Amino acid sequence: MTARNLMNPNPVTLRLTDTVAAAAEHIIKEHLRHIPVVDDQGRYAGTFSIYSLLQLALPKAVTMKEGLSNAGFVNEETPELARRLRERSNEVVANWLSKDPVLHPDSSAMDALLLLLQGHVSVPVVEKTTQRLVGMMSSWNVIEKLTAEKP
Amino acid sequence: MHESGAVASTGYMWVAAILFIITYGVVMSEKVNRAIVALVAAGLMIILGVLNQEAAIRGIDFNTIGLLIGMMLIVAITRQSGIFQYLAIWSAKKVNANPWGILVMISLVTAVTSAFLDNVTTVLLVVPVTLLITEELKVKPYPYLFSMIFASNIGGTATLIGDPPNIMIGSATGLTFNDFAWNLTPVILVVMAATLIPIYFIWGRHLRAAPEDRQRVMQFNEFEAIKDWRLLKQCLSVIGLVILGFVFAKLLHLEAATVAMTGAAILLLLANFGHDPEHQSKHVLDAFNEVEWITIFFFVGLFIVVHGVDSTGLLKLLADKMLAMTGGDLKATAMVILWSSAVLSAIIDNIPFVATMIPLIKAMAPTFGGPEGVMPLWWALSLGACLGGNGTLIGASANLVVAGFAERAGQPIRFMRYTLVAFPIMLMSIFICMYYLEWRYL
Repeated sequence: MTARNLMNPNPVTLRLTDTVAAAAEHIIKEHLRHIPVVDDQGRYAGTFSIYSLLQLALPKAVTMKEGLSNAGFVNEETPELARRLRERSNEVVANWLSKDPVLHPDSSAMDALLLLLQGHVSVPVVEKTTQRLVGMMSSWNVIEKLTAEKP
Repeated sequence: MHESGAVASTGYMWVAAILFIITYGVVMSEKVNRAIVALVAAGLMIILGVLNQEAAIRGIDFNTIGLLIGMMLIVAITRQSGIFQYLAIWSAKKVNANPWGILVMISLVTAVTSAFLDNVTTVLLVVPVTLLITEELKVKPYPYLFSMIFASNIGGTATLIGDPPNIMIGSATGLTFNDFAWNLTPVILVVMAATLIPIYFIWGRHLRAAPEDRQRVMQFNEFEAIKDWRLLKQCLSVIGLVILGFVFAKLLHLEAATVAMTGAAILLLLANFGHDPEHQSKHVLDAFNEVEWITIFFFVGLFIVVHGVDSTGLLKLLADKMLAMTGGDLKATAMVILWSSAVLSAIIDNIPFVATMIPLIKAMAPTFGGPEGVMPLWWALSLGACLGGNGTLIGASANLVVAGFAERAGQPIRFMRYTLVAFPIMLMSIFICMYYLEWRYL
């Protein structure tokens, strides 16, 4: 069994030029944590996640590398956090992508399981040569397949 | 082979000179880690026969090494308390979150903290709070970061422990904490004030923030920045004692390294008191991991390389050449040292430069009537080497740390843009120092 057999071949995707607001709508409506982002040729560019949204609600100085380790002194309530998120909602998702490890369609099931076990909730499956996104694989996909397997 | 274990001959002088130039070149190229370069060069100094191992070890200034490690350990523990963030927020609120007032206050906090603790740690901990404040005020962080770079290097110049060049000079000459404070702090206060003038005219007078944004900063609770009150009290007590130790070091017949290392040991003891052995081991290891071992081993290697060069008589030769050039005039020599160290420190690492200049100035002492006579030269070297670091983005480690933060915050500090403003301001600070040296000593 390979990643091709385990993945969801029709995942929700975003374009690089889509806005944060559009991404947030997908994440909330479809209860997604990670959405792969592709360019005009369908090549995988990165992942926009629910964590990107949380990051957008916080000041940059808090979320940046080597930023503030303690921000308890900032007395912000939910309206301020919401305001910051709203102010950034028209930014394109391209600015807020994370580059996670990917699987290839012919990656072994063992590699796929190990990657998921290492804490990656869902992993993009990308063609090796063209870098085109062919699917997404989550722990749910794998468990569904494994439990449906007849003895 | 002479007394120091070095072989004094023209052949060895050439070997040492070539090795020294290559070391400098490779360190400047930044292609190889500087600690590796210095240690390889030190090894070659011994293998090629310029020094034997005993002489090489004698060349290492353990007072400098001990002082650096001791202060790094104290800073490593202190930073966990949140005091740096507290000071930054407190200072912003003291000026009612006025954008220009914040720039001045944060610069002063950076300068004062850098005078007593390591510059890099200071900016590492104050810059994120500054970025947060500028984000809340919706003002560009660039002027603040620019000013902090200057403040950290200016503040570091004021004391024996503020900047590595001063630590090296103090250790090599026996100049005390009080000597540095008495001779350098007055001019540093003037330089700091003067530096804020062009910053005001270039950026400060245009800084504006909306009342509601200022109100958000005023709502910051600085007490929440303190993560561990018990640790904070311990750190402040030990830092206070260490500073007192430096002030009375001569009276107590103590070297600076003894004061710093004992302070670090006491702080480790207090911070771990009452914890189980496993917890203690983890905390002690964490603190040791915070020591900048690359810098420490760079110093070790460099001391051996410079001692090798010095042992061959090459630096004495260079000192004689320099004296011939200045006609043996103290004022001219001080000016050459001040300006050359300022300009060179803006483009090359000031640590190897100062390490080389120390034996060179020592060799000049007989010409100027002994150690007392060369005193102005030490101040010229310190002021030039420390303040020169402001000239370019690569002039000091703290500059690069601030630039790294700026990049991550999406407000990059470009090399040329920085240099075009910073270099003239740095030259202005050297002019002030020039007149100060002339007025006070020459």
